[in-house]
Amino acid sequence: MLVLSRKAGEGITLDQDVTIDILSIDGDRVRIGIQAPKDMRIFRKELLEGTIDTNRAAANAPAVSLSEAE
Amino acid sequence: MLIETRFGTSETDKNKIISFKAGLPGFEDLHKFIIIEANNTRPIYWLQSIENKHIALPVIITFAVLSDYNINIRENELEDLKVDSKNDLLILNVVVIPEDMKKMTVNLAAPIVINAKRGIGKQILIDAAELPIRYPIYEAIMESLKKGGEEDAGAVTESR
Repeated sequence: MLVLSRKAGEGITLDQDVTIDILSIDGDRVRIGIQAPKDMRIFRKELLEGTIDTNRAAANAPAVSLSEAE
Repeated sequence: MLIETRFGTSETDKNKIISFKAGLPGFEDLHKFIIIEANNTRPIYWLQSIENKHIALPVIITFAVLSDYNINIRENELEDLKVDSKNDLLILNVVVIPEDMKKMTVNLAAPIVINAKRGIGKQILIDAAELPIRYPIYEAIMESLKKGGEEDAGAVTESR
């Protein structure tokens, strides 16, 4: 993993078409601005991790019978 | 063709196979699935891997259960799925069924978008406050069961 140290007001660009700006830092919270092409989905990492978790948990479903669930 | 599923051997039509180029998050190495119905589990269907018979994800056709479910699918995503008409789209969401079924949840943030005509699918991640990863769905499923017959497939959504 590439590790960079940045200050508020500084930024990073990825492949020239994605820009990540460090807008402000307040204690343990960092505000980040991202500019990217419109067709690129941007989401918090927890969303991918949560979806990996739920997909895997879903595959472990017990055999269910909904008609008997009532 | 005959395939092995979680529920036993099943006969399926080759053109019902749905290809997921990128797999699914958590199952990146599985690329081919079919949608099957199991006894007594409607309106829950199963997205069954044809490469690993043990992997079948319970899914719902969300629009049939939550009529106000609304997502934005982008033009480039429709292009990736080679969608000619939005009528060909099928939107599924993955259901987690714990031992206590009343606690079942659905991942509304990660719809599985399928071009049913061409058999191409992708699970899309949408970061939006109104789309929880674990949304309680038991009540809504029971409601839809009470209403009886559930509409089949074919769910259309808006694109921007």
